Amino acid sequence: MAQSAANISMPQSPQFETSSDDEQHQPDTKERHTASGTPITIGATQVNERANMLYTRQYRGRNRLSQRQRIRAERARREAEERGTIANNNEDVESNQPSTSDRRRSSISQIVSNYFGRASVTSADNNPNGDVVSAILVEEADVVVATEMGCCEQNWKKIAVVMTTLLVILATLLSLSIVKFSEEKKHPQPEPTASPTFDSKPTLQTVQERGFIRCGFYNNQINTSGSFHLNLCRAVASVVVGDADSYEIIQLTLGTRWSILNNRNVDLLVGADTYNIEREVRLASAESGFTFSVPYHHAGMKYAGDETFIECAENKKRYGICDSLSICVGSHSTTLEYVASNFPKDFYTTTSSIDETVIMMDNGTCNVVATELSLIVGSTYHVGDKQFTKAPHAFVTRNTDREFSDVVNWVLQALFYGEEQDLTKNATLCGNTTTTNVTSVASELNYLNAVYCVGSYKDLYQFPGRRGMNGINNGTKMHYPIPFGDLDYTADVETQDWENFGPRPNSTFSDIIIYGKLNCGVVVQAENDTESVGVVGMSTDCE
Amino acid sequence: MAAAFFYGNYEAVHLLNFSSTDEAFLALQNGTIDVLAGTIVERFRDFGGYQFSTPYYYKSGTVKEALVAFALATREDDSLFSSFVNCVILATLSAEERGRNQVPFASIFGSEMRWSLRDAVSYSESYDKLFTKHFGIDSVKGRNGLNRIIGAGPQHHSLPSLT
Repeated sequence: MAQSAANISMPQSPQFETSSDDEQHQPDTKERHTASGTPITIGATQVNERANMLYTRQYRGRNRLSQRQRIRAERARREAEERGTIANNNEDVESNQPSTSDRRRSSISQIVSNYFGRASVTSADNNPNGDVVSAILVEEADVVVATEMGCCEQNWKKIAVVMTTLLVILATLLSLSIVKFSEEKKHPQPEPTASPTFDSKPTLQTVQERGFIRCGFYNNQINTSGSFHLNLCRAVASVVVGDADSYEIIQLTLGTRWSILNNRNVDLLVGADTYNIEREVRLASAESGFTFSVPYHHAGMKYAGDETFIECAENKKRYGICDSLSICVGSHSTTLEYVASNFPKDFYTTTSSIDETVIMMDNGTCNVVATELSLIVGSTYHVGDKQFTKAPHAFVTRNTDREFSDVVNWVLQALFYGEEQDLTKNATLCGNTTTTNVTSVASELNYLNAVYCVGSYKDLYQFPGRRGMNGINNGTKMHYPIPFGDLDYTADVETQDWENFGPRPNSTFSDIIIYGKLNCGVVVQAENDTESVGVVGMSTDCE
Repeated sequence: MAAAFFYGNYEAVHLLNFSSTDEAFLALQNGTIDVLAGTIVERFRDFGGYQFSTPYYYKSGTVKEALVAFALATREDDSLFSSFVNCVILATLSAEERGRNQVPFASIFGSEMRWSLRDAVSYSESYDKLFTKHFGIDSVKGRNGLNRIIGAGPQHHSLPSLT
C-alpha cells in the first residue's frame, strides 16, 4: 500500500493543505496560488516502496483514525449533508447569506482553527470570480506513528481472565477465614495461645516448656554487683529447669519493670527491687499488686559522690556552700520518696536509669547520688556512712500465679538453709536435666539444687564490708516488719476512683464485711505443749 | 483482726477451735473459717493453696535445730485479703518499733478500711503488749532471742520443712 503525505515545495512558507476534496484521490501534485498570488505546488508524493506489513494488534494507533483523517471524514460527512441541502433548497443560493461553500470553508476553517489555533487563509487576489482558496495547516505530528505493543497489551484478555480468577479465589478464602474466626470466637479453644502476653498457663509450666527462665535486671547489674543477682537467677533456673545456665537476661529500667513483668515478658525481677506493702497490694503506677519473696538482701539508701555535698545531704543542710547541693535520685523508687520528703524540688533531679545517673554525675548536673548501695557497687564514688531507709530487696513475681511465687521463695529458703547447714556447691549432687528429669510439681522440685549447683547464700553474697542484717540469724530478734510504703491515698480522697480499690465482689474480704463477723479458726495444740498453749492464747486475741 | 475489720469492734468474731491441724486447714479450704491461727508454716501447705502471713511467733532454739514459725493462714484465692491479714500482724510489730501513731492509714484496702490498722493497734496496742498480755509478765524474758524485733543484726534464716 502506498503511503502519501501532503508536501510543500516552498520551505519558508507555512505548510498548507488544500481544501479540495479531489486531492485525496490524486497522487500527483497540483499547482495552486497563495493569497499574494505566488504559485505553489501541493500534493502527495509517490513512495515507491511497499509499506511494512503491520499486524494491527501489535501496534498502538493502527486501529484509530489520525487527527487529519478524522477532519477529512467530518468534512466528507458535512459535504454529503450539504449536497443534499443544495439539491432541495436552490433558492437559498440567491440569498444574502454566505454561500454554502463559504459556510463550508468557514466551517472547515473553524475546525482547523480549533485544532491548530490558526485561522485558515482566504485570498481574493487575482481571483475576479471571488473563488476562495482555503488552506489547512498540516502538522507532521498529525501522522499517528504505530508503536509496538508490550506483552501485557498484546495479552490483555488472558491477563484479565487470570486476574479475575485470582480475585474470585481470594474472595473465597477471605470469606472462609471470616467464618472460621467467628466460629472460634463462639467456641474458644481451651488451650492458651502461643503468645506469652496472653498465655494463661502457669508460669512454672511455661518456663519448663520454654527450657529457660527470664530474669529481669537493671543495666549496670550484670558487670558489677550483678554476679550476686545473676547467681540468684541461676539458682532459680537450677531448680525450675534443672540447669543453672538456662536463663535469659532481660534488661529493665525502674520505670518499665512493672509493665514488663505484668506483660509476661519476664518471669521474675531480680534487680534489687524493694519490698513494701504498697507494692504488694496495689502499686498505683502499675495499677496492680505484686508478690514478693522473703528479702534476699537488706539494703538502704545512702548518699554517694562528692564528699562535701554528701555531708550536706546527710545533714539536710541547704545553705552556705550547700546551696549548690544537687542530688540525683531514681524515679519510681522508694529512695525518691525519702529525698522528696526531705528536700525541695530544686535540690534534686530524677533519673530514669542508673546509666543516666552516671552521666549526670559525670557532667556535673548532680554532685550527689541518693541510691541503694547494691546499685552502685563497683563505682568510684565516695559513699557516706549513714543509711537512711530500710530497703528489703526481694524477688518479684506476678500476683496472679501464687505457685510460681512460692517456688522462687523456697529457692531463697534453700540458699539460707545451705549456709545454715554448711552446705556448698557440689557438682556431684547437682541434679542436671541431662541426668534427671525435672518434675512439674512445684512442691516436689529439688530446691537444694540451688545450693549444689550454684552455692549457698554465703557463696553468692559478694558485697563488701560487714554483712550486718544480711547475716544468718542464729536465734535473736527474728521479727522484721516489712515497710508499709504509702497505703493511704488521701491526696485526692474525694476524687479517687474507689472502684479500683478495696475488696472485689464475692471475695473472702467482701463476704466478711457483709456477714459482719470474722470466722476465725484456732488450732489447739496438745495440752502438755505449754509453749504452744501460750501461742494459742495469743492467737485468740480476736476474742 | 476483728477490730481491724469492724471499726475496732474486736468482738465481731466467731471462734472455732480445732484439735487437728488437718481439720483446721480443711475448714479453711471449704470456707468454714476465713483465717486460721495457731498453725505453723509448712512447705507442703504453702503449695497446697494456702498463704501464710509474716510469722507472729517463733519457737525453738537455734536455727540448726527445727525452727517453728507460727503464722496466720488464709486461702490463696483472695490476695487482697491475705495482704490485709499480713498487714494486721505488721501493724502490731510496727507499733512496737515506731509507736502506734506511726501506724499508717490504709485506704489502699478501700475507703472503708482507712482506719483499720489504727483500729487494730488501738485494741492490741503493740506486739509487745500483746505478747505480755497472753504470756504473762514473766514471759517477756522469753522474748530474749527469737521473738524480738530486729535491730541492725542478722536477719536471714530459712523456714522449716524445706527438706
